[in-house]
Amino acid sequence: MTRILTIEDDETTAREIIAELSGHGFEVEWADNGMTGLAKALSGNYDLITLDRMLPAVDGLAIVTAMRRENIDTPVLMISALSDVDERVQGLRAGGDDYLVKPFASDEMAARVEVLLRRKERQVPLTVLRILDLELDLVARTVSRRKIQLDLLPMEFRLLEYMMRNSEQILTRTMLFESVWGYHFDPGTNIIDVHIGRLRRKVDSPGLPPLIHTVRGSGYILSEHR
Amino acid sequence: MNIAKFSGTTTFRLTLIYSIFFTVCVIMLMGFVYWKTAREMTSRVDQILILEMRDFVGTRGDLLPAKIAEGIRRDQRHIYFYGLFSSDGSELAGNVSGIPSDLPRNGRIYQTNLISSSLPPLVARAAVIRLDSGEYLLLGHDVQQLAEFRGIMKGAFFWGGSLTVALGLAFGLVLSFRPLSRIEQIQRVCELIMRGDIRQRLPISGRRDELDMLTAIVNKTLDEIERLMSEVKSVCDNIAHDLRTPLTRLRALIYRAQQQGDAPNAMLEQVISDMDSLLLRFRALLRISEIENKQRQAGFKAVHLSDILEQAVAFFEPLAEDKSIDLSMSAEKLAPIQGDGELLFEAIVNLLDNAVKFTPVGGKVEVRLSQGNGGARVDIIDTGPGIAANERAAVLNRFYRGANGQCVPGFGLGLGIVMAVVRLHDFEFELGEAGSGTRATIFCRPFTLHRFIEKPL
Repeated sequence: MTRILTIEDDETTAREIIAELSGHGFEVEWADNGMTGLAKALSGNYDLITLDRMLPAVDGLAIVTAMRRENIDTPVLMISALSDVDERVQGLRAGGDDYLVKPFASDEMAARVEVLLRRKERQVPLTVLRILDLELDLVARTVSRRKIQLDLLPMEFRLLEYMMRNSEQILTRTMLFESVWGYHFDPGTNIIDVHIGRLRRKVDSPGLPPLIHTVRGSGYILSEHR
Repeated sequence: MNIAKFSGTTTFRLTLIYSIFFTVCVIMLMGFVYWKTAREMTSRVDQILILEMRDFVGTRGDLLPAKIAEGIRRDQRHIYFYGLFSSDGSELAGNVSGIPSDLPRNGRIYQTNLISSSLPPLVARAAVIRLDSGEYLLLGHDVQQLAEFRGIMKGAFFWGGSLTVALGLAFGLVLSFRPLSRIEQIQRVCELIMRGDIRQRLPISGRRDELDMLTAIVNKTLDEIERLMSEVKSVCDNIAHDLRTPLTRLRALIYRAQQQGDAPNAMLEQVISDMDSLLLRFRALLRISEIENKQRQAGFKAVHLSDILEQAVAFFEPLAEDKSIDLSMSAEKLAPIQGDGELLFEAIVNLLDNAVKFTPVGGKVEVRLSQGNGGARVDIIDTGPGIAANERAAVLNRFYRGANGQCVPGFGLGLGIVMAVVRLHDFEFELGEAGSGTRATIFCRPFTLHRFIEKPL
């Protein structure tokens, strides 16, 4: 069973995280202060850690720095009330794997946790991504469905690549915008939806089983099972 | 009116210090004149006395009383003293009643008080010589004039000095009156401002003195405070207005769900999506203050505007295509500018978002990068309904939505973000018209310098 450590001093937030992650079938352990959190994190018995950036005494940055120094590569999702870009850069530089700003939607947090867990599983570098009959060649930079070449724009290619790497997982619009376009603000309108819609028209031609699905209220998922 | 208040002013203190300094200088000058004069007078009197002494010492002893009587008779002005005394000190001849006890009998000249038979005691230069016969001869010369001169000097020191200081005090008070009355004016205006009339400005005399400079600085600060206050006020008003509708709708939805008992999933999804759009507004608001709080220009790098524009256009291309809007871009080859690429992209995205949103189906949006006056300029021109000239300033305020835009989704915060980014970069933003549509322009010139040169304090 996947074990997750939640280091969070605010009880309400912690309960919310635990409830959401337990709902996804994870075993969640809670450390309510930096000292216990650090001790548990250093034991290395977890698959992922959600880490509050601001903790009394030992703060989040110190914990992640200490972990990386001890060569513990457990993925860390930093959660912080500080949304400044510089704060984000600092958190990621110290060794955080992803950065989420408080207050957050639980489903967004869960989606990010899933992506991080998945990233850890995948050790071998791939040259071809394959979902059902959809193939994406990372070397030749081509995409085909049922052996028929698809004509994608560079941005569409990157969007599809990200979705295929994280297939069977809910990806929120913010996650897509951050990962594919590399910006950390809210693009606001439904523009991500339009990009997905366009990609979907190319990938899921009429008559083929659809691979890109909308998850109402959350985001998108690339899946062969729905 | 309070003297203590006046005596605290810079003018008063400067005047007082100056008059004291002036008095000290005058006293020193007068002292020097007195010292020089006294020395001159004394040395002349001493010369005369030395000549007289030689004359008397050369005279035979038995002729001395007659010579003394002759001298006294000749001395019409009563300035000479003669005295012949026996070895036991008794008076033999002359007009001096006794040798003063403090006068050494060694033939040298000293200053002393002499008591004459006819006159009150007088200050004089005098010498006593012991004659071969054992008698003492006293010769003296009145220097009362010198003492009187000293008295005059002392009086002049005292009266002149105190008069100068008193005049300085009075003058200082008078001079302080003007700045103080201006301070009082400023105080009155400030009281109005403190009571909430933020539109008041401190009076400027136009003399361009220190007080004017200070007043100008304060007025500039007040301008900025007024702008911020009105912004805060309009934000509060707008938040209240803008959020009431979706919140009421949400409440209705939840109420309906409650009434139905087992709420259908679609209804809950509607609630979540309404909530999300509400949260989006708050996030945009926070984003604006975040940009405004950013360490000024600390993370600036050289960025190519054409790259940013290309990326933004590519980002919006699908949306434009969906609405059959012709989105095109033209860029001159320009040198990179100093800026925050991510924030500039955000600003452009917001401008494009507005342009695409307000342009009707089949319209055109054009992005243009060119060399403007003093720096690069980015124009985003659409064929939407345009913004009336009198609405343009209001449009730049957060949360405002134009009368023509009521039916289009969007929260009016986009331009607030644009303004925040532009202000951070010290660029300039302008809304204008292009045909029937809107032209949004960012002038990427370092603007601080211009502002400073055009409007010095």
